[in-house]
Amino acid sequence: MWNFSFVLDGKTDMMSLNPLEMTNFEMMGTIFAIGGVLLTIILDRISKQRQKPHEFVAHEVDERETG
Amino acid sequence: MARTFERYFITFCRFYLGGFNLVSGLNYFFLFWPQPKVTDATGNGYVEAAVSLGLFSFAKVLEIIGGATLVFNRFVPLGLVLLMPVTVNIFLINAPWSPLPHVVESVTRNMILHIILLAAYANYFYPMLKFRAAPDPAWRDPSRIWKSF
Repeated sequence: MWNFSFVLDGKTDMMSLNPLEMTNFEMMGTIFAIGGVLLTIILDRISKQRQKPHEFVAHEVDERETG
Repeated sequence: MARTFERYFITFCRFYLGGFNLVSGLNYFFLFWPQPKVTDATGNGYVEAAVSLGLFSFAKVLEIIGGATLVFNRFVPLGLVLLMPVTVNIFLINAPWSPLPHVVESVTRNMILHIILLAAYANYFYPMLKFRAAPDPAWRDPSRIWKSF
């Protein structure tokens, strides 16, 4: 019969539906997922910091000439 | 805000499914942990037959390639298509028959995540919904293959 128990004992209760009760592959998937999201957030923040502020120019310019 | 959440949710799904499949595939060849067995007798018979036919190794290679595409965010639509037969087979072997609720939950979760990712990258699959399709063979202009990269 299924249950919702979770025990941090290094084993997986295969009758439990608790998402914290993970197999090795699920654990690796979760580590990859959380790590990947954190990495994406960090890279987003870095790219935002690097983004130059928009400067308004009143006349038409050739974007290839601006440095 | 909703778009940001959506983007991170898709990233979460991509890394989860990619990491799961990549590690599962690598585990078959390097055996970090004991290889899991299907508890149901019929399902186990199917896996044993797949191992005898060499299909299991093929599936694990697909898992490694597909998992790597998802983790490294390269050729993601191709990776999703490569992984789909594996996900569907694992789901069909386990979900209706497995006596272990955790296994049923796990394979159903992977199936749902896979469908979410296919929907998230749907713009690459819309051309397949063409009602009347005309052939345009790759051999007429092979350069189109590497131009697609």
